[in-house]
Amino acid sequence: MTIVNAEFRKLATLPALRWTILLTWLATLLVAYAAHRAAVADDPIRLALRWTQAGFLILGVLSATQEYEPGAQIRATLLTVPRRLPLLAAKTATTAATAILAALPLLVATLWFVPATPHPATALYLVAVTLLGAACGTLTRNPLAAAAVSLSAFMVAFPLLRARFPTASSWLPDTLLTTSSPTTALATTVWAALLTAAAALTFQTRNA
Amino acid sequence: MVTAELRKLLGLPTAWVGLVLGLIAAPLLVFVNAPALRRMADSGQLPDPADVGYENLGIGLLGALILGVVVVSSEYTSTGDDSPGAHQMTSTLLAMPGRKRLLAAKGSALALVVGVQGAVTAVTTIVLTRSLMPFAPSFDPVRVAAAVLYWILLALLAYAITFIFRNGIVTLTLFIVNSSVVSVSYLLTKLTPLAAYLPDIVGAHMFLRSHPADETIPPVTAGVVMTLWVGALLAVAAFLFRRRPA
Repeated sequence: MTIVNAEFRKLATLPALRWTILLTWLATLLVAYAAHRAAVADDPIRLALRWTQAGFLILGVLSATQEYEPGAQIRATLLTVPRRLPLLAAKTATTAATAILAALPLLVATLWFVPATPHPATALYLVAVTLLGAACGTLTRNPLAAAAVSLSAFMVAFPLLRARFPTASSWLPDTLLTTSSPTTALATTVWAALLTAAAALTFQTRNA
Repeated sequence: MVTAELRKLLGLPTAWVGLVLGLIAAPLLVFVNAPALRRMADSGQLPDPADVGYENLGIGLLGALILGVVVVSSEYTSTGDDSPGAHQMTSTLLAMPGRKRLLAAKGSALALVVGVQGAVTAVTTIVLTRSLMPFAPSFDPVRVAAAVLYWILLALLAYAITFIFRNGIVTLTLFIVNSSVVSVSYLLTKLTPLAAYLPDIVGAHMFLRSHPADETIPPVTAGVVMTLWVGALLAVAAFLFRRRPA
């Protein structure tokens, strides 16, 4: 619990994360408002998140790569907590908690547009996306590379793949945002779990 | 100075990722889209073939974008774990103290690389589209030149924004999100028609003929508006670059 506490304090004191969350909220509200004006949707926030999920990806990327910024804080972290898997587990838990905190106001904002209960799948999706970003960050140890890879995948590659192979689309990690079904929820969870496991394996076996 | 900047840019591994990505993405997309487009054309569902081929150029812009970002962010990357404060920009400014000239030299090197990349990609993509789909528009040098100009201006836009924030993540997020299937700028045109004059939307009017937005802007006006955007952002970047400690 001490590790979780320490990791949470690290994240809470990073200005970059505060800016990311704040800009994500603003952008989501703006795009949701534009979309709502264009055509009354069931859930404008969910629609806007197709673009502004990028903020959650960046949130994940930054929360993982902050350890590898110049000065390599990761060495100090590993001196204090030498066992790597518990450390990564604590990091994953804190990142997920931060994602929930960042997602909650958006879910509440749905009520501002339409009188409908916010979709719980949206929260699950945003946490999964943040964890995918964090896994990319842990794997590449470079914020720019991780951001480029994860953003291109979610913004360009997956939409193209979905258009090309409509039958397999429910197994892509981001279909949950457009169609919520048990399959898409499972797919998103499995993708996040697999990539986090890959990150854990790399983190465990690699030199810091 | 331009030669020095060119050698620095082409010595970066990330720049080569951008170069290769920009070169192969658009022609690859032609192959991906060809069967569906041909089916649509055969059944007469293709409303307007004027942009077939040209539409695919958009994805290659990601490559130009990466080049625009890394040409700046590489200067601000820390040189090593043990010297967190040191970055290449210090040495660059020791060698070339004139900051405006440095900005111009970097921009020229970038424009040159992206121009060659854009020209090769655009010609390959259009010729390939034409050979795969005979109903596609024929090779039009003016439109291809406009597309190449769009590439250069967008790369310079990324260059200016990265210079302003001194951080590649802001630029990358902004542009990759906007290059998704339906761009945010396009959504904003629903809010106000003026959003059609945002740089990325107005720029596309230079070489695309059928527009998703209702606004139709003549190609020359589009080019002028986009150049003004780039000029304004470069001016802000130059101002900040001159005033800030390196």
